[in-house]
Amino acid sequence: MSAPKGWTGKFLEVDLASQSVMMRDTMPYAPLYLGGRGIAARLAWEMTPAGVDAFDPANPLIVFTGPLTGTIAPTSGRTVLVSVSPRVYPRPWVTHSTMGGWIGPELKYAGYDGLVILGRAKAPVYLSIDNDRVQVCDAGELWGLGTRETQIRLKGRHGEKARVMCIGPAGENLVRIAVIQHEEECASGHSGFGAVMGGKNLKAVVVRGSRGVAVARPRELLREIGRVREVARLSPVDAFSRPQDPAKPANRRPVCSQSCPVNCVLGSVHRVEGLPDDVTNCVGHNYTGGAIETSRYESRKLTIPPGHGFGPVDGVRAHLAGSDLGLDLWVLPTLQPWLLKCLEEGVSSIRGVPLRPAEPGWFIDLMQAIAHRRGLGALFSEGLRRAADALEGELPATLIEAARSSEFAFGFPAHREGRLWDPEPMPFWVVSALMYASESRDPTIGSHASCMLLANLKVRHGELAAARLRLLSKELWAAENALDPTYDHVVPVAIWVQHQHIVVDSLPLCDFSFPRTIGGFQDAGEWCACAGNGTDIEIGARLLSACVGDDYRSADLERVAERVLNLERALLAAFGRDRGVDASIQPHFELPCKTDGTCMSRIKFDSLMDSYYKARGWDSERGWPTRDKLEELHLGDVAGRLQACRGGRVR
Amino acid sequence: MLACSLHHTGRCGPALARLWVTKAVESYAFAIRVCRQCRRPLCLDACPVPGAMAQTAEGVVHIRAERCNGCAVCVEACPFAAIAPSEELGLCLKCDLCHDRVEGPLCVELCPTGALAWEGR
Repeated sequence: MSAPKGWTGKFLEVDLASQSVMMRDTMPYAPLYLGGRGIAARLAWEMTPAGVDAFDPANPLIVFTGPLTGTIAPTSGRTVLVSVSPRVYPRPWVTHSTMGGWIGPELKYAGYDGLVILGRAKAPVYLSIDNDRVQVCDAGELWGLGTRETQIRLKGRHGEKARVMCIGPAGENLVRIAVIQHEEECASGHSGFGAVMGGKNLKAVVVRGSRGVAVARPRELLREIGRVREVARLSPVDAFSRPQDPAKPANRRPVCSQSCPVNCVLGSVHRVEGLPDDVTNCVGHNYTGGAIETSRYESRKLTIPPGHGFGPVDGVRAHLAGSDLGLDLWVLPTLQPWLLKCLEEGVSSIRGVPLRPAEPGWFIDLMQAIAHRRGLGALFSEGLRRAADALEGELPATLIEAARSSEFAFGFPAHREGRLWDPEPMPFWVVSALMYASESRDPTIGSHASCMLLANLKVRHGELAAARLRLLSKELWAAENALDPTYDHVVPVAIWVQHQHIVVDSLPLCDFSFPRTIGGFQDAGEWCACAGNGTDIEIGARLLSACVGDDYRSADLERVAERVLNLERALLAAFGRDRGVDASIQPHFELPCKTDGTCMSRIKFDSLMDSYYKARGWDSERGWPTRDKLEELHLGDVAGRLQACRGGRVR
Repeated sequence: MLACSLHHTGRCGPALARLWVTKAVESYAFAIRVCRQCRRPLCLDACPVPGAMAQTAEGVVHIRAERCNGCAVCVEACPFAAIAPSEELGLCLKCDLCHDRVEGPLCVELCPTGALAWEGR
């Protein structure tokens, strides 16, 4: 059999306890699960003991790339991580996270589609992968170092071309909001996987590869890249890359990932005397700006004040500290507004520690304390949601409630839910609510694909959007009313968005800047001029076909996405997730939407979930995939184990 | 680098490319090494293997993969560190401006920001 194109055909399984390294075949998984999030979900299903804790040595940390990783397909430099997340509240379950940068491609160049890390080393180690040479190395000298110094030292040891992902003190100390950091600006952020590495005594993974990824049809790939560019002219990709003021030259922005042709607005380089160069992306910008108006929420039921960035010098200092400590940078926009609310409510200290959250020095000290689990930091190292439980009875109920709302989604920060952070009006926040209720983590990135840009257009150009959204709706969902401001037609939209997102995560492509062909327009004129450009799945299918040499159609990828989502749902079931847990997010949506004041009643939520489960082929009692649905998706073996969960024999 | 390796080998991989771009973690600065197509190429003079290096009528110096034995004498001769031996391919690599490609250098065609141009010499 000839060597595969796109995929390398192999992945590594490393047991840190026994220091054994095993080579496994990717190709048995590729046809059904593609790569990235898809294959990782399947491996998690096969290898993760049901109900296992995030810090249990038996919890595998799965790092996987896809068939496009390492190629020149636009925005394909991403890597997917899957594991049991310590952040998930009230008890951990399997979730996923993606990361940009260069390490996934390097893994492919070393000859591997992915890496599964099992066990716990007796003492701190790092994993070195240099083509065929895979070693578990002593990391005693690195333990305790920040992520920047760790990377510099490992590049010093393994060469400047080596790619490193590592943890800082936060991960070492099992902080539930610890990230895995890569280069200056990339991280596997929200899912707390830094602490999973810490729990394995694994400081870093260093990769060096000198091979290439074979492309089956180079000419076809080049043609498809050209087509993506054409499509991108009417996509957020272009909107982001345009200079705000046409009279000024375009800003020179760094890309944060290999194969990214997008000079998107997310990246900024900051140069402050006496500090290393700093790059902020997306949430990082909150550190260097002024008031964080997006965090302001005011309703009859709840108020959250705006956060407070620290400006161009102290902000860079704080941002660098967060990255170096290996903390999820959302710690600022989530925790700081809540601490400011404490002051507003007359609570000037917690457990004897005076609160000064708007002062950069104080906040940096707090981040240090969180990463090292010291003093007040120990409380917040568990995440704000768990801290709220610990503080119940100590602080006024309004503050406990505000903390729980800030991380309402199983311990993940509120985002893209039309309330605490973003302004999505009806029906976009309802789409998000369905995704929150059915998936393993906040669906922020998935809803970037649909909600963010379309919703913003609706906020900015209401009347025009009403007309254009009907045309779009007809094109994508064969009904004009799918995006009407009601609850009645959103289920197919949510399913569509979920499938788009899974395909993007499985190829994988950038889930922020990949051309989402349905949105991202600067003004009303562009919106009017836009015709249907196809979907991410269609583009993905063409890029995939060119790279691997088999002809994939959109329907094939749609099928993969449905299979992966059902498998992820079965994984959640194995960790005790059911309809009752899904419904725990509902009270958050009783808060009025910050744009249009709409909110969701319990009855309406139940009815929506009934419709969603039915459309998915899941049972209405628990919201678990039925045997028929699983067998239809070639997941018959999953049905058997799920049945055991149903009978309560597992867990 | 990916465009370069794709055109020359049908594979994408920086280690197979004919130019080298690196970025340090310490600062957000890039270093680029690529052949300048010298008018009097020292590498060509130095190459000890008959026919392993050649120059087109337009002055582009290129390495013939089927003849190059990877001895790396050209690497030593280049004053700009713009040639490197490839362990993977068993030969030396340098930019040849995709001289066998009618449309010109592929990197120019694919550069998303239009930062590269090919103006001939």
